[in-house]
Amino acid sequence: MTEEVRLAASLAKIRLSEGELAAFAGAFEGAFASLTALENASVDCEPLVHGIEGISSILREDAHYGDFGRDALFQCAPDVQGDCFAVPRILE
Amino acid sequence: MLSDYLRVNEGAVGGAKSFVASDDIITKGVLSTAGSKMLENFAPPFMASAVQRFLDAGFALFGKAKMSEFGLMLLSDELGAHAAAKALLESDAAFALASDAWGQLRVSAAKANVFGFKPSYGYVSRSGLISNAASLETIGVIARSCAALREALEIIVFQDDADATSVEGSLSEHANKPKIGVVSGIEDEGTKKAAELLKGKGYEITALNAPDIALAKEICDVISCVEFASMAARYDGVKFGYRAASDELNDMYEKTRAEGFGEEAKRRILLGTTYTREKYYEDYAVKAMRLRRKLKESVAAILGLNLWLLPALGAEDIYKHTRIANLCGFPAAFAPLSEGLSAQLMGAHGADAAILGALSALEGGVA
Repeated sequence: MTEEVRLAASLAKIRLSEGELAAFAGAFEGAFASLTALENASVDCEPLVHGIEGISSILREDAHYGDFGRDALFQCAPDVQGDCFAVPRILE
Repeated sequence: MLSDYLRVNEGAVGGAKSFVASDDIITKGVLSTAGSKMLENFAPPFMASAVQRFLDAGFALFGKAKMSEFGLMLLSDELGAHAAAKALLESDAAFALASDAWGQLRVSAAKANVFGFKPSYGYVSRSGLISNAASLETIGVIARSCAALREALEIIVFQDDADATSVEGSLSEHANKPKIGVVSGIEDEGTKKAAELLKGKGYEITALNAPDIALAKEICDVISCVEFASMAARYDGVKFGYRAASDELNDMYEKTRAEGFGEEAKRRILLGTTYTREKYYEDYAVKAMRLRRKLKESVAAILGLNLWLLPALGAEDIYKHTRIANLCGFPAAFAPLSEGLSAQLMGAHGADAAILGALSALEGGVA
């Protein structure tokens, strides 16, 4: 399972140490072993993605509800430069 | 000690016109961490809809109750995943708001021996709830009495256009009392005591056929991991939350998420990501959703207009009896009884008022 964990970590963008890789590989084995009955279950109905059905998106007229304000958003940000959220340089 | 369970809001005075909110319910300008390092400094720019409804009704926020990271594991055996119920008991607030994705709110209430109510899915807006598992979770209420439960629910049950899964809810009771169903083999001393009390209050007790819930844990495990992995994708260290120091963007993402999430959060993200890979998608993610439909249909078939009286806590698997309501989107409540006993009541979607009525009937049997 180590390679499965390594791939999942890459897709999920989480850096893992070798120790964590080994630990999560063990956790994966336990998780998949616990799901044997689910994997083997025979069922052909439609998937249910929500606890209740018939939920439809609430459509309303486009309206401006106001915003949080730039300052309020920037206060939550880890790093800001001028009028922008700052991230490490992408292009040289 | 109150501070073990709660961060008191600045300037809060408490009292009967105050409430407690769990730390995964967003409060404008007040730390809302969901118990995670990822959000340790997060003071949101808006209020959760449920919190705003309380404020509009004249209640003040007393404080934010501590919780395990995103409610994923137990804080301790004494508290459950949320400290909200203990925080309520230690304070003089009127009630507490907490989330319930597979039973966390009801278990928290059980640990403090107070009432805990998980409403029908969609009855309480999830706008401003820091998500754990979107299709399973609702915001609910913990309170010392049924009257307080009802008062709180009447404030926060409304259709909110800020939440696309919100529906119009009703707390009006039908004239006829529902029958109270018991499933042979899924009962304990608490359910027997509750059945006695309800029978004494004029409820008819009936035997229900056993629903097909054998795979509830497996279904919940897969769906909750998939939804948590999806939800957690938003934590990238750019616009809010924790950021690890780095000079390179991808490196920043990976270090931020490695350092910001705890072990259980990472385990769930990794598993959820795996279940949705093409190789596993049909056999795990889709299979779980198909089985969820089958489970829901089976539970709905035995319930009809009845309520199901079942144990609150599982012996080895604490959420054994609570996650069923979340998978179905059904309302359920924890009821404390005398002599350390307790029970849980569940009904079909929309049976919230019927459950409140039965809880009131049980309240006479509360220690």
